[in-house]
Amino acid sequence: MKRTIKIRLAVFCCGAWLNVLPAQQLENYVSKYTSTNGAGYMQPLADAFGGSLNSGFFHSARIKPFGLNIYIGIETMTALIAEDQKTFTAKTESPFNPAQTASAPTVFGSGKGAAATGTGGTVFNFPGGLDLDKLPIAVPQVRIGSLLGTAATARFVELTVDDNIGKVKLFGFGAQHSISQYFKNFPIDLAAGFWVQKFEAGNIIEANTKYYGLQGSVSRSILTLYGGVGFASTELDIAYDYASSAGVDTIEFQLEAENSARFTVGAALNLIAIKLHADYNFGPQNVVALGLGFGF
Amino acid sequence: MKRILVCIPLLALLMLTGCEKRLFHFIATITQSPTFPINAISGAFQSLPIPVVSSVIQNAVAIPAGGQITRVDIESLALHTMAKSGNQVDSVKVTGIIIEAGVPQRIFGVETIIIGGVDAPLVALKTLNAAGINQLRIKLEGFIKNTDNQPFAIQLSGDLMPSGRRLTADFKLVVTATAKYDQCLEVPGLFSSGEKCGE
Repeated sequence: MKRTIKIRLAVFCCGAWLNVLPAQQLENYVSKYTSTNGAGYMQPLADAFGGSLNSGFFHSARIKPFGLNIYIGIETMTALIAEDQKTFTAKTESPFNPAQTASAPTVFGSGKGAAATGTGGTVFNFPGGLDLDKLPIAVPQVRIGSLLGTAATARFVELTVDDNIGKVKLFGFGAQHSISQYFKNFPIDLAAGFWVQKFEAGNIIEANTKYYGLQGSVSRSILTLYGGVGFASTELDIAYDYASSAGVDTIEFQLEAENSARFTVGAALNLIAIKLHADYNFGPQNVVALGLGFGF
Repeated sequence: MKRILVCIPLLALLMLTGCEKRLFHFIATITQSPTFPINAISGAFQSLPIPVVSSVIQNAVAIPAGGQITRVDIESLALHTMAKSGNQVDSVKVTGIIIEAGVPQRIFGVETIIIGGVDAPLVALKTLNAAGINQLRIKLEGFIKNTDNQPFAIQLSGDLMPSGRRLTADFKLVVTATAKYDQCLEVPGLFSSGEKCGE
């Protein structure tokens, strides 16, 4: 569902659960653009944010058929911003004359912007970006098992940021089911899983993600090596105020992340009750995930 | 215990990223749309000069506290015409001037504009005069930076097509400018790949 409101992604400075982007700055930048340029400007955000949210769900494929086991931890996912995500081909907007295209910064691009010169010394200024090389987010995560070789995972954050942003909410859940339990002496642990998430920043932005795939792991002593292949999708609804020559209009559009097939490789340390893991997620958007938690 | 001690700095690294001040470059858009009521029955017309004062421009641009304006640019000029009841003219050839301290300077040359209704499109002006545009730019920059508070005026004039008929219309001149400004803002340390303040 699209929201007809200003875009202000949440800022949680100094030790917050969920770091997103400097909100007011982003609104100032993107408000220069209509939907055509706005989509090009914001697409890398959808890719990075979706890629991050669709990471860090699993750090093992071992699921006992029955028995209580619980993990509570913090997952941090950092999308690595590639150079080609920092520029896009922008078009000058009417009534600037003559119409031109220019390589302009995306939301993650240079802060200095770009400019096109028109008739009589007029100048169309393209806004800069936030000059970011990475987009980190952190969320609490709980995993509970096992029933018939199935474990459930949930993520939940709800915070009130300020009057402008209001509540920021992330809710995600999913399940992992052991495949290897059906085979005797299977050389590795194998599981299938799916996860869905919904992120809302007040009445400002809405993102929906889905991930499903296969996971495998091998455990030796305190070390677990794990990997996975999966498919991910993200939809990001964006709306903001556009300062046009005819006044202020609301611009709305939906972005779909280029996440598709993704591969994960990682390692986990099980230090009695402390669980530490790190993995790298390959795909159209590369993401590093780190997790630290407690469990048994 | 040793294993737990190893984990503590890792947790700290994850959670205590801190905040840093970084320099951001912003753009604020300023749109001014003075309306010129035109009534003419001869072959030519001239509007009354419409004054532009600094306070109006300053109120039209939203520069936050701490924002340092670096430059103002004129982005575009466009004209919207709205015919009134009794108008008999199909189009006009129109020019615009900026008048500062009584001295006129052309800001756009002869443009042929169709006289439209309420829904008439905004027509981009293409014959812009560099000297006039630069003068307009400097005035707006002075107003926004609060280094100039002497008002100026804009006036339209032109020829009726066909001549000898009655023109009664409102001409709205849409001037769009952008103000670039810098601002130091505190952002989480993990976002700190941009320019440091004071660089």
